Amino acid sequence: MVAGPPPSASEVYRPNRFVSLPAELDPSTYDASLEKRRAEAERMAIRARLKRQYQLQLNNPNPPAVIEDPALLRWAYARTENVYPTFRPTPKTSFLGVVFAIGPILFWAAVFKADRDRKEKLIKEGKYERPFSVF
Amino acid sequence: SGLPKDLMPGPYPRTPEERAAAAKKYNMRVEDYEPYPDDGFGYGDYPKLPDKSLHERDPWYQWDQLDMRHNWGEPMHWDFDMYIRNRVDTSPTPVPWHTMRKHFLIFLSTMLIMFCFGEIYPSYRPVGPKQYPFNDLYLERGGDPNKEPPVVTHYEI
Repeated sequence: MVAGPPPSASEVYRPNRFVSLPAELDPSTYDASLEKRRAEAERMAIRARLKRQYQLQLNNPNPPAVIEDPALLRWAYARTENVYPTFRPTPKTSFLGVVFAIGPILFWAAVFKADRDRKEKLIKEGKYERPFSVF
Repeated sequence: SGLPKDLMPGPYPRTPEERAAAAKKYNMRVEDYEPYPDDGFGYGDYPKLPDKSLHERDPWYQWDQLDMRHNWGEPMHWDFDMYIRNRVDTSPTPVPWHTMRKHFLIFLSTMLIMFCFGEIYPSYRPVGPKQYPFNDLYLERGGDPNKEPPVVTHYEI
């Protein structure tokens, strides 16, 4: 039985939804290739363009009352108004809808009905001791 | 209401041209742009950014919005309000998360098992029934003061 290569640091660390990989264990930190530098340069160009737009608005002698952030507007729109048009009933969404939306209503209706029926039966038999009774 | 319709989020992009247009709309590189999978959940063409909280962003860089560590026009994560610095923190931990979880569960389960064991098999110093003075509290318990109380001795010689 031949042992494979020893697990890499990121495989030992196992980043997940709650913690991300530290930069020291990430192999892309030590990657100094041209593609990475080109990608970083493009991202910096986009960032610089956006910063220039923002600074021009900020340092304007007649600044607008509110400098709207299009990213914020898009974020708010996507989370509120764009959900219904892009929603599509699929097996997964239907299943989740039944489990989380219809299921609790039916479950709690059954629980309350059973509880009330039990109390009614006890009252009819005369065995129910009223809590908080003033008598 | 503030932006024209083509700058607002829309449906899931199907063709490469729609992808490129969506990347340009969200101020991202075409290679970086990755929409949420088209499962009908209502995400549309919103980009799927890495799930990193704002704690991980550089505190010394001159952000446009310092408290949110966010630049003007930069695409915001879908769960941006969850990842702010008052809330969820996904910074890397010195100990891997699965190790922390394992140690915590070992401790918790050991303590719970020991407490349940103590409930089932209690262990304490030997005790006897409580002894009351004044002939077993004869007068306090409503005994007749004219009659002789019965003598109660709790010892044997």
